[in-house]
Amino acid sequence: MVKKKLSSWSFFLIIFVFPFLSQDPYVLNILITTGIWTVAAWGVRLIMSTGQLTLGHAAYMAIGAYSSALLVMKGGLSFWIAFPLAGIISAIVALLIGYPTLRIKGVYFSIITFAFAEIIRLIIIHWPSLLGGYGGLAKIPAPDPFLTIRFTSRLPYYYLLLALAIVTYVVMVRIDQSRLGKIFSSIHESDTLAESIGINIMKYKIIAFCIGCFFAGLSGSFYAHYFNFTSPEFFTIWQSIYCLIFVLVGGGGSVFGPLLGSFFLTLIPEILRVAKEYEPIIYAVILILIMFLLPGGLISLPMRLRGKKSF
Amino acid sequence: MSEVSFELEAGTILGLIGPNGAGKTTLYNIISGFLPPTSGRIYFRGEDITGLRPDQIAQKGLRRTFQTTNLFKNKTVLENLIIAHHLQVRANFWDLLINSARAKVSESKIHQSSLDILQFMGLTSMKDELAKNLPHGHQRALGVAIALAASPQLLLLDEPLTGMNAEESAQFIKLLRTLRDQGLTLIVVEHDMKAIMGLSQRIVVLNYGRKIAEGSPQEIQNNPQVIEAYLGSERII
Amino acid sequence: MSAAFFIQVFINGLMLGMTYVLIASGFSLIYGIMRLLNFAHGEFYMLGAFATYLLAERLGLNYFTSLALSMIIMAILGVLVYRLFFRPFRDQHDPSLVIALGLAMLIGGLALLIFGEKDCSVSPAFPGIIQFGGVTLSLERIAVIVMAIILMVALSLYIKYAKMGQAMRAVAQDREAAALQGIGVDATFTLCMAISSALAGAAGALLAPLFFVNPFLGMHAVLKALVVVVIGGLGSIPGAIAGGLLLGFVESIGNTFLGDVTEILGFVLIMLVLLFRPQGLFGHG
Repeated sequence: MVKKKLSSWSFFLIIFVFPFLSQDPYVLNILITTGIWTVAAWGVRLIMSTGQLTLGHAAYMAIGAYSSALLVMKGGLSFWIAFPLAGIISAIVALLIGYPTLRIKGVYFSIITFAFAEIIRLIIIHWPSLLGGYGGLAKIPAPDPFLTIRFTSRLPYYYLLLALAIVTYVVMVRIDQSRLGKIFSSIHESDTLAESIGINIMKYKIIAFCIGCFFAGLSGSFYAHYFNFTSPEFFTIWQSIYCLIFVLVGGGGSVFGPLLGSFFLTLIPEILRVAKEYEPIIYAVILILIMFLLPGGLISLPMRLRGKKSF
Repeated sequence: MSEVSFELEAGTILGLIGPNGAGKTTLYNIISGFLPPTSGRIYFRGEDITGLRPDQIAQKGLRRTFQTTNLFKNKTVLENLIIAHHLQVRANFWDLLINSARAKVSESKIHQSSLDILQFMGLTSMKDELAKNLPHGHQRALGVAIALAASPQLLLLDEPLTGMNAEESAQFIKLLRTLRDQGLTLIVVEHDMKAIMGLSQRIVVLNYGRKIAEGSPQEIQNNPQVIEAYLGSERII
Repeated sequence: MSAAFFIQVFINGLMLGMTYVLIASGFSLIYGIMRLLNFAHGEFYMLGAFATYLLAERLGLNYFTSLALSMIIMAILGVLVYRLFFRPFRDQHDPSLVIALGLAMLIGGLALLIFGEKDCSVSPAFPGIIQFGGVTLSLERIAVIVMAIILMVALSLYIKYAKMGQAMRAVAQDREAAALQGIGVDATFTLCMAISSALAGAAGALLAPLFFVNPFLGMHAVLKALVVVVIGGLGSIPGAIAGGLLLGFVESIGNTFLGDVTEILGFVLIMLVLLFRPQGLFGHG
């Protein structure tokens, strides 16, 4: 555990220090994008910790993105207010959807999450007047200046995202280590037993779902104001699946997993210097390899290498 | 399941028997809230608990074990017990999240209670083992231990003696008597006739989802309908 | 609106519906027998279309030969996929789903690489139209309906009467009991994959002359299949038929009168069904 904490914080330290070494906008962009997906993936992980497989996480990112954009552009709010509000709006929608759907078992729940995601995506497409339709919503303003920091280059975004990532990370770790996290994992291991000892499983599944979608909303909001543009193309089933893949490849067993997963899967295509077309294939191959060789994800690698004797 | 009705006196042990498929586990599922009854009502300590959720019923003090062992397999024995004390946690959501002083006090109380229960069930030596690594008999004991957490008033045991040898069974029966003497009410489903007859004050017999007999062990053993129901499958001692 | 107009809409709905039925039946079969939500199923539809394209257009084979060969190729591919990827995870629910997703991505990605983004087209086997009473129907569409019906009848008869077909039903109902009776579960699964993939390939082959063929068809097809089986009931063939036809007609009518918004209908339907009758029209709780 201590080892993991060390590696996470040293990771953040490296990210923090990186721009002092290089401010290549291309690299910064990749790191920022990876960070956005990491925050979203952490949400997926939390939802999965109660045993629910969500295939529609992108919908909540979209809700966050569009809410935030509209609150700023049409509502005249400052980004700094719209940003947390976007998360809250996503959480509220999650509550409304989660309440009737989380009681539905297993694969049917996953299908519902996916169906809902498609509905959201199609609503966005078919409401061009408000939401910009296929073309998307353009000219989303950058966050207004924070103290003296103006968001005119990549760097402020970089550090803002780092702050978001660190906050999300701390929250996730706290939940994991608290009784709440223990309750989540008991529901995951045996919801029947959990119920028989007095745990209201619906209540806790909803809590996990709402918190997970809250962070999806935040990541979506950041996305919108960073790219100054948002479109339904950014929030399809593929994005939902990617979030899932980051968690699975990195490993859902610890909070560090999705972080590792998203960086690993973003770096590989970059290192191989391949075109975007190859990305799905690479992801698919890595995913399949992980499922066969390292079902616990990349974070289980040190355990596997060491544990040849103990297990 | 139809026409099952009986009353249970506090502080006694009720044996629930019947051939395979008679509906004993189904009855448990209905009483503990996992299955809704199609008609009829269930009263627990004067309160109508029909239609409540399982966790709500657990809150009222009614606990159960399962025929197929249900455990938190990837947690240690001690952790299983600690989680089982869920209802005794005197801390709210916020306390839990930030681990306040109140949460810590609650935690140490629960820790102690867990150790006590483990000792009572004879599982102390395995407290740091992962539940999935336990031998079968100990897994069942752990199942009972979990149900004992948070001081239940009524415990429904589903075939607790399965897989135990004579010595373990005898020890377990002694344990059950101790629990009853401490004020716990028990319903026990078992196939081991000798054990049930010796343990229970009253017995209810089910067959094909109906109650076919109720009475003292003596009465049941001599009941022709019961004997007929068991003909070929069990011998009543 | 004339009667002719409605007949047109009806025929379109029927055609669309029958193709959905073909894809969904295979999908439902796999879930019912193997308890696997095979997200890669749509890729067999797409590959079936491409196989037909390659055989008919590039090699110049007769359409029906291409159709038959495509089905055979897809069946073999299905068996390979089962042996290599699904069997190792046979009883693990979540990993199977993930593998299926990964496969869908892999096959789709490879197809994209090999065939490129551009649409390919296949010449129809039955060019021409028939006209009667003001109604204009393309022969090809009618042929598709007829061939789809033939395939579905064959499938239904097989499941009902053939020994292996009955074996599949037994395994679907109770795997352990079937195994105890000496039914080879692995062989049944293999056969199931072969048949389902062949059906999906057939659907792809049948629709190839009518619509464009491109690597993106896969995901689209499996999503449609998902809607159909949820409505009809996961694991039920009559459900797949009912659901497929229902969706086909709803979409045909919707597209004519409502336009693009029709897409949403399918998903709203899914959510409603899953909330109120999760087992679908014909499924068992």
